[in-house]
Amino acid sequence: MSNNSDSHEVQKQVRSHLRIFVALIVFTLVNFIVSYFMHVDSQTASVVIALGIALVEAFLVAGFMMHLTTERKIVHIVLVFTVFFFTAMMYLILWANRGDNRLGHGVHV
Amino acid sequence: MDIPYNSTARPDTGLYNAKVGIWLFLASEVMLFGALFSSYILLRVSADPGMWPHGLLNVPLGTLNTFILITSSITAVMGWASLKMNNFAGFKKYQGITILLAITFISIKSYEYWDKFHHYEVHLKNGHVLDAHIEKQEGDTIVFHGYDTADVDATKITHGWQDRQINRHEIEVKKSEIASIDNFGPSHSPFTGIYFVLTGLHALHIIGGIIVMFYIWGPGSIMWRTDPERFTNRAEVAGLYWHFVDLVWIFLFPVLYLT
Repeated sequence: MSNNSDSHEVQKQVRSHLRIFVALIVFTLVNFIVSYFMHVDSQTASVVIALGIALVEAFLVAGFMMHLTTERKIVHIVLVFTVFFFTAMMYLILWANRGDNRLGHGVHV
Repeated sequence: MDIPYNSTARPDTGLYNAKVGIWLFLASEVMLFGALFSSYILLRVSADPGMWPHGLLNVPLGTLNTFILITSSITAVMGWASLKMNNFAGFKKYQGITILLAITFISIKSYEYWDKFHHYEVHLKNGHVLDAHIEKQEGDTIVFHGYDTADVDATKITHGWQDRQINRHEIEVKKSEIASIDNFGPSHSPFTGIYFVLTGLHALHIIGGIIVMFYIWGPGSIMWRTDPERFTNRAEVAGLYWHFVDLVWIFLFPVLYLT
């Protein structure tokens, strides 16, 4: 089923995945140490650090383990739609919760 | 009837059908988890300033589970790579390890759930509040291990979690002194509600993944003899799903445990 060049390509991918695995472990460890031992005073700073590291980890998993960086155009098209609707949903939530629109504050007639 | 493009790529998409299918499915999953993440954001920004619970969950256990899931992701890739290199025994080994790691993840998660159902907020008639686990019950007396304060808000404020973890000790309480007692289950607070919903849905995905991977590893592996290309594709599609489950946890962990 696979010829030599295929096999060589897969071995290259495996080496790359192992490097990503090590990077993911290190990032998780950093996130844990920063949160658990360093006690960042600012709540905003702790959220930014934790989610920033999570975003890098997510990029590594989606981009390389799921092969998104080298995936076909149709997959990228599907994901562009997903990102658009996901962003719109998040924006709606934040918009609904700002100022006078804040949920739970009643409707002004 | 033979379904086309199971093992070979369609000329127009450049992908075999199952791969297009799994990406469409994962896109819908992004919206499902996205809706719940947006609920989390809404609950969190609507909480009174400084009152969103922090330190309620076991961070070392959450970190361990993150390591386990990341490791299972790499073993899933190694399993698929083994098939690509015609090494069926290697696939069996790595897929087996992936399944064991997934079961370990679920076991640790179950322990965390069990702990929350045995972790209590106790309001005493004298105005004190306990944030504690029950150690033992002897007749009319309950022995708790936890944090005791006269300030009701002290059990809730975000920045007070280190104090609550450090100053834990044994507290003896007569049953007649208790005004109310409530565990940290889903109905305790908006935080525990969204925590159980998000992690519960994620756990269901883990269980689904275990079933699918077990089928491919066990009875479904007979396909390797008849149609190895299609079998390899199945392993790849299951792997993509598994990476997505890992990806969701990568966000759940900092959002629920660390911030």
